Amino acid sequence: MAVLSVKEAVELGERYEIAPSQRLPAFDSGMAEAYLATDRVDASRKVFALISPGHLAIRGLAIAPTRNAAGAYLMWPLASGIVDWPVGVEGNDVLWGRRPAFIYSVPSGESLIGANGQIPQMSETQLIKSFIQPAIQLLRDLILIGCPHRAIRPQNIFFQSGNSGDLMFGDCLASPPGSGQPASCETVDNAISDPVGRGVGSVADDLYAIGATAIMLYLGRDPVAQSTDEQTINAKINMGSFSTLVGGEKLAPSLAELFRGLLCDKVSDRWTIKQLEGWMTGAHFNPTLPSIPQRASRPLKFSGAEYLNKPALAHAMSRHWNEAIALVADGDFDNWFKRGFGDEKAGDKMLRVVGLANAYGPQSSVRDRTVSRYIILMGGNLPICYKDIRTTLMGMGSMLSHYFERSERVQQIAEMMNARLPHAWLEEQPNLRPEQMQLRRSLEMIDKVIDRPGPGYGIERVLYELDRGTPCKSALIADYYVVNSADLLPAIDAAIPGAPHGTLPMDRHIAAFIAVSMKRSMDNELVGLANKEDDIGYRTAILRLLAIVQRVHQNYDLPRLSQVVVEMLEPVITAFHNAGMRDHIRGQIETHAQGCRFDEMLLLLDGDGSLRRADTDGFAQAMKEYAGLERGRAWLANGGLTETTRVRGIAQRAAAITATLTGSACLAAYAVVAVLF
Amino acid sequence: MADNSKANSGAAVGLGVKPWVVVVPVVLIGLIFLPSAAVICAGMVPTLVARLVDSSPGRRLSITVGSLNLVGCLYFLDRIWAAGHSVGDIQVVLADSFGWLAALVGAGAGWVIFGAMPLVIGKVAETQTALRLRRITGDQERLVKEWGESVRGIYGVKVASKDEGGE
Repeated sequence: MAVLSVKEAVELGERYEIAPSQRLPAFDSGMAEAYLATDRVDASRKVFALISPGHLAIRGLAIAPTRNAAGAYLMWPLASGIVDWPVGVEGNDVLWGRRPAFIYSVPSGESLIGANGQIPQMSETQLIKSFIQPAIQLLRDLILIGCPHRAIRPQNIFFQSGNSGDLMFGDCLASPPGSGQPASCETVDNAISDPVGRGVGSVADDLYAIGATAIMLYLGRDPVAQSTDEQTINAKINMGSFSTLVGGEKLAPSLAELFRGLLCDKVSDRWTIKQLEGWMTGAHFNPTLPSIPQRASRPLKFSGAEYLNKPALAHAMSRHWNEAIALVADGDFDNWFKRGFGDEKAGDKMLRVVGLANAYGPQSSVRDRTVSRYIILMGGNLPICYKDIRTTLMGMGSMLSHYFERSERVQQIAEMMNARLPHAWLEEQPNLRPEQMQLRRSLEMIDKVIDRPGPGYGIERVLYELDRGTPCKSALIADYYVVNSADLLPAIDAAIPGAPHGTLPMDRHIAAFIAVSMKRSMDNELVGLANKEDDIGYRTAILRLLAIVQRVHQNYDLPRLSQVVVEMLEPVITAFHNAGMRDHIRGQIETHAQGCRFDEMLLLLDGDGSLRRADTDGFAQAMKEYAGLERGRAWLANGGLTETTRVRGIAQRAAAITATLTGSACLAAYAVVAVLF
Repeated sequence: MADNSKANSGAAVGLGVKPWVVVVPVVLIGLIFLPSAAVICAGMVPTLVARLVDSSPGRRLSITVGSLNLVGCLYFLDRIWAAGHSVGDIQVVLADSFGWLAALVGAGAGWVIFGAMPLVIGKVAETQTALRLRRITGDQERLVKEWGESVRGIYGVKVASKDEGGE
C-alpha cells in the first residue's frame, strides 16, 4: 500500500488514533503494515497499529477480543476493529475505505533479528529459559482460545526488554495464518502451499515452527538460508526436517531429542505440548523416528533431476506442470509407479486416477486433472496442486479471495473444484481434523452452486462458502471491508454517493454474500435475480433481498440507499396499469422511503401481493370492457341502429301502434260524445 | 268476409284461440247489428285492399290502415244510427259521399303514417347512433386515462388516414 499524505488521524474507538501518513516498516507483520498510533488516555504510552489487507478474511477481528493483552511473552492487541482508511487518491480527493486495524504496544525490547539480519546464538540454557518457556506459555494460552499462532519465526520475535533475556512472540492476528512464514519454519505441506493458501493450521504447526526457530537460535543462523524454497522442501521430504535443519551439527542428546520430537514430519508422531512440558521437567520419551518416505527400487528422471520417492516427485511435478503432463503419459513413469514400490495394487490405483480424471471435467483439461490426482495419490498430505494453484484444503478460501481479480487463477480454482480434487484429497487422508470434516459439508454445497449461472451462485458463492470471513468483494463496497451481513446495508448506503447514477444496490457478489450469510436457503429469492430480461421481477427480487437483510439486522438508518431504491422501483411502479393505484403506491413508497422500510415497500410491490393482483385483474377487466365498447362502436359504424331491415321493422311497429292508439282514442271520444250528448 | 274470416282465424290461431270462437260471435253480432255491420264493412274496403298487399310481418300495414280507416267509418256508423238503424237506411247512408271521404281519409292517413314512419325512425336511429358513439368514445377515453394506452389491447393499432399518408 502506498503511503498517502493524509493529515487527519483515523480513530479506533474513542481511545486510539492512527496516523495514515506515518509508516513504521520495522513493525510490519506479514501482509499487515505498521503505522504510528497514539493513546489519547495515556499519551506517554508508545503504541503502533497494524493495518491488514482489505481483500482477505482476517481471523484476528474475531479472536482479538477473546483475550486481554496480558502476558509479556506474546504481543496481543490492545484494541482491534475496522477503521476508516485512505485507500487511494482521485485528483485532489482522498478515497476512503475501511480496513481491519490492531493496536499494539511498541515492544520494550529490540527485535530478535538485529539490524544486520543476524540471528543471535543461544546456549541450551538460554534457549530453554528465554525461548522454550515463553513458547510453552504461549501455546497454553492459545490452546485455551483455540487459536494457533502460525507466525512463529525469528523475524517475528522480540526481546521482552533490551537486547537480551526472555523473548516475546510478535503479532499473529493481522495477517492470514502462515502467510509470512519462510519455508524453513513450515511443515512440508504448508511450505509447498502458496503462502496465502496455508490455512489456519493447528498447534502442531506451531510446535514445528518452535522447533525450527529453536534450531536457528541454537545455531545462531538459518541453516537453509542459502537454499531456495524448493530445495529446502526437497531436502525435508528426502531426509526429514530434522536432518535438513540440523544438518551435520552436533547436538546435546536432550536438544536432539527436543528437535526430533518437534520437527517430526509425521503429525501423529510429532510432540504435543504435553511432551514439550514433560521434556522441560526432565522427562524422556521414546526416540521419534524420522518419517522418510518409501524409496523406489530405482530413480525416475524428471525435470533434470532424479527422484526416488513419491512425495518428492509429487512436489517436483507441482512446480513443473507442463513437464508433469508429459511425464504421466510416459511409459517410464508407468513402470516406475507400478514396479518401483512393490505395490500390487499400483495398477488399480493408476486406473482409478485416470478414470476419475476423465469422469469430472471437460476433455480439454483431462491431463491437468490426471497430474493433480497423481500428486494427491503420491503426496499424501501435500497440498492440492492444480496448474498454478497450490493450496491446503483449509486455505482454498484465502487463495480464491487473494487471486479473485486474476481471472486465470480464478478459472483454475473453478476447474479444480469442478474436478472434485478437494474431495479426492479428503479421501486420501487417513485422519481428518474436525474443521476439515466441516469443510466437507461446505464442499457438498459448493458442488450444487458452482455451475449455476445466476447471481448468488457460481464462483462468487464458492468464495464466501469456502471462508465465511471473506469481505464482500462487490465493486460497490469492496473498500468497506464488510464481513458481517449486519454491515452490508450501511456499507451500501455509504458507498452510494460515490457510485455512478443509476447503480443498482445489487450484484453477483452482494447476492452471494447474502445467500451465505442467511441461515436459511435463499434459492427462492435468488430466482428473480437470474432473469434480467424480466426487469420488473429483477428489481423486485433486489428489493426482496434488501428487505430480508434489513429485517434480520434491523438497519433503518439508510437514507441514501432508500433513495436509490425508490429510483430503482420506478419501473416497477410504472408497471402498474391503473393510474390511481400508481399514484397511491408512489405516495406510499415515498412515505416508507423516509422510514427506510424496505419490507413495507415489498408488501406494496410484490408480484404475489394483493395490490398487484388487484391491478392485474382490474386491467384484464378494463381490457374486456374496452374491447366490448370497441365492438359496439364497430356495430354502430356498420349501421347497427340504422340498418334498413331493423328501421323498417321498428317503423312498421311504430306505425301500427300509433294508428291503433289514435284509432282507440277517437273511438273512445266518439263513444263518450255519443253517450253524453 | 271470407278473407276477414281467414284473418280472424289467423289472428285467433296466433293468440292460441280456436278460430270459430272468434268468428261465430262476430258473425252473430254482425247479423244482430246488420246495418252497422254492413256500412262498416263497406267503409273498411280500403283496409281489405291494404290487407291484400300487406307483406309486413304481423300485418302491421293492415293494422295501421285499418285503425284509422275504422275511425273514418265512424261517420257511416253515426249516420246509420241517426237514421234509425234499419236495413233500408244502408243504401242511403252509403250514398253519402262525406262518409266515403271520411273513411278514405282515415285509410289514407294510415298509409301516410305507415310510409313516413321509416323516415322518422331512421332519423331517430341516426341520432341514437351518434349519441351512443359519443358515449362509447367517452367511456373509452376514461378507460385509457385510468389504465393507460395498453388497455386498448389489439385495438391500439392506429390506422393512419389518407391525409396522414395511410392507404
